[in-house]
Amino acid sequence: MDEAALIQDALHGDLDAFNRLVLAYQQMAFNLAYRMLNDDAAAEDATQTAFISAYRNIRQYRGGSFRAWVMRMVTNACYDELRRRQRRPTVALEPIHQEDDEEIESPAWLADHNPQPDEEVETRELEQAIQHCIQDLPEEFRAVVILVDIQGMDYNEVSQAIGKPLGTIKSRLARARLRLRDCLSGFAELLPAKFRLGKEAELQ
Amino acid sequence: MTEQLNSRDLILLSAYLDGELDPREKARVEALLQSNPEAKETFESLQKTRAVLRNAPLRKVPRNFTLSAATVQQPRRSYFLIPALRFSSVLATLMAVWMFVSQLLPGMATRPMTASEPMMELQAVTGTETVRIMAVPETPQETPPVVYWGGPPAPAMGMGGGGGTAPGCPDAFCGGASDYPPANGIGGGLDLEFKSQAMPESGAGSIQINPVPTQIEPLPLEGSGPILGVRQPEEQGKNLFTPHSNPTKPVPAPLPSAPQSQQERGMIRPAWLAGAGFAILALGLWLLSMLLKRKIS
Repeated sequence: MDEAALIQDALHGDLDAFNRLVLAYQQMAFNLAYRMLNDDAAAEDATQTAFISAYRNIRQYRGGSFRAWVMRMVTNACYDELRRRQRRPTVALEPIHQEDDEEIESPAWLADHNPQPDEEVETRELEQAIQHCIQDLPEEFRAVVILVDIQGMDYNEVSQAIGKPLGTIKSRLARARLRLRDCLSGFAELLPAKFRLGKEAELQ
Repeated sequence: MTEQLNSRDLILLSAYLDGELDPREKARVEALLQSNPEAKETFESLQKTRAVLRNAPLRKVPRNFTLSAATVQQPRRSYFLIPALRFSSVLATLMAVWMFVSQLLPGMATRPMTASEPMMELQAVTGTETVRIMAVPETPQETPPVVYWGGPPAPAMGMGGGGGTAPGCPDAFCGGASDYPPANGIGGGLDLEFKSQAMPESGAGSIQINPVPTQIEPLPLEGSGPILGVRQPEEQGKNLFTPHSNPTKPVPAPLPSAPQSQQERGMIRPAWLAGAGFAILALGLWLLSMLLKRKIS
């Protein structure tokens, strides 16, 4: 069954049809929430909240990209969570006996000590570097760059998902990319050779 | 020569990377890339940054997010209760402000009516003044029966007093006071003196007195009521008197309301009480909405 038929059935209250749409978009929704919130549990909650909200408000869907409409629900749920964090800041879990600052940057007491292949370690470190740089972005830049560069959505879809005009999307995306470029240049040793920027690439 | 890239150029370079430019902008960026090495270098760095992000690994979904019927049918009463409470709070605030402002602005305050207000209504009309006096003309044939309970009436010495006496006027205009000795009570009625001669002119700053008729034709009493007669249908609603062109004939001005002012000083106007009530209501509703919101979040 195609997406349009599933949407029509969901509009008439068919929960099974809506759940098939959930299965189609849950990977994208969860990754967007995780990149926005940088926390698995919070991303899980935000994704679930977004799908519940989408089902309850599906009559507000006026056509266009359903994927963008769902991502808008996820983005709103993430903004709500970020605002809640600002109102009630939480204290990060830390070991009782801090012996040096190294534990704060990469807590050894949380590390998995099982032996891992080098490639997997490098991939994980690169992923952490990307996530670190994304978290340094302002929230409004973060959503745009995740949707365009990680999720691969076009500008019109992102405009629909964020609720901002195209000019704003272009401007935010350009600024976000420049900031990410500067941030990732500090992790050059983690980047594959073809992705290294400027002089680091020439040295290879 | 290399020109410094401005923010507009950077936005165009970024959008060119995604193929989101119209043909005119696209031609401009391509010209810029050929002429400006810095623009070319920036474009390549943006291209690699995007490639890094596109190759970022996706996280696996920890579980399915499919919904059950129980999940989507949670009660949501509190979510619309909060806006309703806030709206009510705003309305109550506006009402309180209106109550206070209406009492503070000159000319908008409403004075409460007291028993000492003169019951006679004077209506001044430019050129021709009309005095309306509620009175009943004398019936020539029959006197309405008066029944005394417990013997003849004693002189009125208490509060209230009787109506005014008006020597020279028909008995019908003297109200009930003509049947009784002069009232010695407090707050007695207005004594009207109808004289044919003009009053001496008052000095500057005194109140200009309205003229009143000197001759009053009594209207015949009809009907079978014990006291008041019923007029002809065509005469109902008309003034009993029409003014005569005698501007020198004075009519006493309404009595100063000094006792009433003293009464007002000691009493709280109902509008102030209502305003305070609305203010307390607004505060209570707002606090309730805040408590509910905190409970939900």
